[in-house]
Amino acid sequence: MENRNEILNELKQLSPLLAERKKENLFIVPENYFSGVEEKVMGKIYAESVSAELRNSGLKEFKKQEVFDVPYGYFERLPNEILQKTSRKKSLSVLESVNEYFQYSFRLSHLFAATPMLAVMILAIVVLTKPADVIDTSSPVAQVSNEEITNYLTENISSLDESSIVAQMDDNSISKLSSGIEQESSEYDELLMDATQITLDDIQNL
Amino acid sequence: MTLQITDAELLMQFRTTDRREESYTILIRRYQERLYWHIRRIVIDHDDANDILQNVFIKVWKSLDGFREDSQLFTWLYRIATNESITFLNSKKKRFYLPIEDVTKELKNKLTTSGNFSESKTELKLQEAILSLPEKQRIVFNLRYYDEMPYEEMSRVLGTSEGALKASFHHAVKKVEKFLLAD
Repeated sequence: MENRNEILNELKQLSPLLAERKKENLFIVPENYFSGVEEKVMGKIYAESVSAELRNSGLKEFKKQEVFDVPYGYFERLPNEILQKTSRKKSLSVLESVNEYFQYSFRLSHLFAATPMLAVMILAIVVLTKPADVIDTSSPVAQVSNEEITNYLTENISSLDESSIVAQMDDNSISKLSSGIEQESSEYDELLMDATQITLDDIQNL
Repeated sequence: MTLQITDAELLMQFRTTDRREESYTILIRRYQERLYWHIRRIVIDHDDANDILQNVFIKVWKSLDGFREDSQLFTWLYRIATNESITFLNSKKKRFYLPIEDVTKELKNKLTTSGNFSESKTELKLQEAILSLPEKQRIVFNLRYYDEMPYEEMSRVLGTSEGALKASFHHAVKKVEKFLLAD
């Protein structure tokens, strides 16, 4: 292995400037730094070993126990229950396809039917709930009855934009309208639920 | 127990007696300064060097039982210290999405702004020159110039052939000299 002289000779050949240069230390360390390193390192090692011991002993103390409980015989019944459900699903798949088709058409037809009705309701709420002090009783419009307005709007519904109607409504009117829609929607849901209860036997009996 | 004990004896004591802590304290005292300066020259900042040095000794404690003594203890310690320092710089780059140039810039910045540096202008210039080298070349230059480490030993520390290390050091010296003569 090379000795120190060989290493210095190599540097002299490569760069006399660097070889002749006095090696100074630019870096400073805090006073007494090296007298405290061993203590810090041993302290960390001790802390790590203690925490590892605690972890290990903690795990040993706790036996693996299931804290949750299940009904008696649950796991014995489970495979049969799953099999029953899957076989029933297969037999119902044809009926479900028919049901799905009916449900879809049912919803679509109701949607088309409900649109003009909703528009009329919105307009009626706007007109009827408008505060009296806002209506100028001297204007010609004030002379027209609510019934005539409703009739006019029903006949000309296709030329009206729904978003512009809604923009004219206040929060109170919108919430009233929403509750009406929810009620209708729940009625439709009930109808749909009834439709899904139809079995193959019911269809054959028809 | 005296500090005159050899590394092999120290290892034996560490492994076979109940005086592990005592043996290890001697090992820390024996190598802490050399390892500190090696790490410090790579990461520049004292706090970073301190953290890395402590991590190195903790790692060594954990794996000293498995040290096979194929190489000298000193070489093995240098190897761990070098790897830890490089890992530290790489994690810094990843954490802050820094390109290598910015890490170098930051290290140069520390030379002038941090309080843990002497005011020697010639030495500052040399450190700036060394910091302009690529990372691996910088480590090779430091090990050869400051630690006066033979290529054979350096080869074990860095896992690179002696020929490659020699070429790397020659390139590094020429670059540093050019940097110093530039002004």
